[in-house]
Amino acid sequence: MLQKTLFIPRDLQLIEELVLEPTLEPRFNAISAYLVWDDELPSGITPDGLDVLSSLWTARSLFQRGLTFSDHPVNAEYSRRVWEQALKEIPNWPGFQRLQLSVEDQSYFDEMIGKENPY
Amino acid sequence: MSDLSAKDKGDRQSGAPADKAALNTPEGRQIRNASGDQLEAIKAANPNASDGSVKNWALMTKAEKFAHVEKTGQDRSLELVDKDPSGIEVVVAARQMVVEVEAKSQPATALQEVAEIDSRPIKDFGFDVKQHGQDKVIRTGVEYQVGQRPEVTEQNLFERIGALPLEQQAQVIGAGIKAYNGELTHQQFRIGVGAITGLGDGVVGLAQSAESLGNSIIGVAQFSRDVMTNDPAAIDTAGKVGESLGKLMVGCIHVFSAADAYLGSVGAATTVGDYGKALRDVSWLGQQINSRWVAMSPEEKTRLATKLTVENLGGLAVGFGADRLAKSVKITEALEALGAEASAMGSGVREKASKLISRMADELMPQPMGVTPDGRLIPIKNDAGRIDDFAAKMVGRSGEYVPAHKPMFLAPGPNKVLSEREMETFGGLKKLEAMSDGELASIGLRRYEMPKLNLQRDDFSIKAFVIGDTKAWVHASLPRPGTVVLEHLDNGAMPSGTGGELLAQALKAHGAHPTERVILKNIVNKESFQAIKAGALPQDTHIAGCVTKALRLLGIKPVSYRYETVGDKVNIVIDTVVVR
Repeated sequence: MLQKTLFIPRDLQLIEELVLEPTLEPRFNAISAYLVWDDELPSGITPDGLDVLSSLWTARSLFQRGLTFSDHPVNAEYSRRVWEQALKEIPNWPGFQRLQLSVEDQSYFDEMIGKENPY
Repeated sequence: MSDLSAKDKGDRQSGAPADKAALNTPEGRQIRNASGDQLEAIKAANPNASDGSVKNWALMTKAEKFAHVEKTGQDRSLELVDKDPSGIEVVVAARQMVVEVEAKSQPATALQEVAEIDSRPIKDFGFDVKQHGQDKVIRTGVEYQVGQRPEVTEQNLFERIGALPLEQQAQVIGAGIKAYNGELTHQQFRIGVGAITGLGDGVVGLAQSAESLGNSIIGVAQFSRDVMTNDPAAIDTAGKVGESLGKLMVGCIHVFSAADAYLGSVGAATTVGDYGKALRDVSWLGQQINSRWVAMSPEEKTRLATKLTVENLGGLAVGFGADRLAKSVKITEALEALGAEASAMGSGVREKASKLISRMADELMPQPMGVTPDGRLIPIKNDAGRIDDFAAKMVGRSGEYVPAHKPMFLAPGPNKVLSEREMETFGGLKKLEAMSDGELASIGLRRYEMPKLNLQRDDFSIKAFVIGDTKAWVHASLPRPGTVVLEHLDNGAMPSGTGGELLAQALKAHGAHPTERVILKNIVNKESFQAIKAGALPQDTHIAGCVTKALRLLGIKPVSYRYETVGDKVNIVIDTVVVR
């Protein structure tokens, strides 16, 4: 069951203070196979807040690969509900601005998810 | 003995003279009856006859030699190259005619002066007694290693350095610190050590001995720096500093005196390389040890010196004199003197003396300080301060971190380091570590050094970024002491196979040791999911393998692996225990 709100006020404030930086380059997370930009991850966020962001990054990676919620490998419905609630709670989160990748970032993403053993 | 002599005699008598048959021919009889004039004529007709030039050459001055080689057009150098069993080409003989003469006309530098000392490698046979029947055969002595690649042991190398003037010892120590801080390559350090000791670079065992030397030097300097900067890593490095000091001092290396001499020598930095910054760390540690010693009462000094001397030297305690230690004004100098005395003794005595120095240093070392969650600065005792205890009190730091040296080797082809199993096919880690860069290249390998890390932390998590590689990073949450949740990991452009090392170094740097549990969060990567679908155990996934390697490097043992599903995530939970 989802909580009433995804984020506690402290985390909400930290996320609201984030500003999109279009020139940043993404980093790959080999554990979860998604891209992250530095301006999407607030310093000092609680582990619970980070857990929600992790759900958002995973869901976004589906869109960036041309897939949908139904392709979520674990729990499509849960993922969809988190995404939709996050759109209401943190609409200005920079991560929502990167549903589509630049050619360069797409190429990097494809290369990274195709690695046999990235560790 | 008489039996052996008789046998020897009999053997000689049984052989017929080799020239007997030839002398029975008509030509042979003619030669036996030849006159003096006939003999001279025969000698003159010999095309291979010596003109006495070897003797004449030896009697010439260098100027005469130079004139002679120019006149006769022999002013070229020659090298005779052969292959050793591993296939590496080595110079077995060389003549450098002009270099020899020219060297005389140039002012000698300190290094050249050292090189002019007879530095031919010597093989020491020790003292070996073997029984042959009722007789004993003793094999002993030394010989120049002619026609063999020279060899050096760790103790030989340390002693050669210990025999150098303090200023040159300081150069070696300073260069060692720089090499193990990443400011110089290990190869540059090894070449420098080879040059300053007159051993050269192609000596068997130099790579391994220089590595040990460098590790001991950095063991001292790193701890000093960690304590000075209140770095949590001090609790880790504290365990190595005493041992490193013991090793260096029984190698006759005057660690603290050399550093002090260098720093006290005005202008030294401008002429022999600037090691001031590196040596200040060493000198500071010596001052701290001496300060603590001075602060002790005479009774305390006697009690400590006697206790440690008897415990470590046993029957040798009287000879080395606990009194001398107890009455010393500067304990660092007394320990250096003890080390120098021990260096001339056998390996057993050296080992005991090394332990004594190590224990004494441990007793007098400044204590690492830690900050508790409520902001208090507390000393962390060296013996009680295991890293896992410490991690609960103080976790996470910011700034640059130089990972501890870990030998890794790159194979040709894909950007990948050798696994332990792959290293075994090349003779194992120790063999590879002892090889020079040239030797490694001859079998297609290269060394790989873990880059420096940039550490960041906040209230709940730690991050480590690889300096120079914008894509390589580690991010972990720390929900409670002993538990680490691995959120993000990628080794960017670093070679494949370095992920475990990167993770271990990041956790170590932050003092975040998962002594109870590590959770690999949201493992929705393609490989893990295929493994889960195929019914693979969690420990058999690539990510679990990487983390298991990191745990092993941290001295932590995984005791169980399991998958867990929480909301839209699948995690791998690894329960752990610390290897005691």
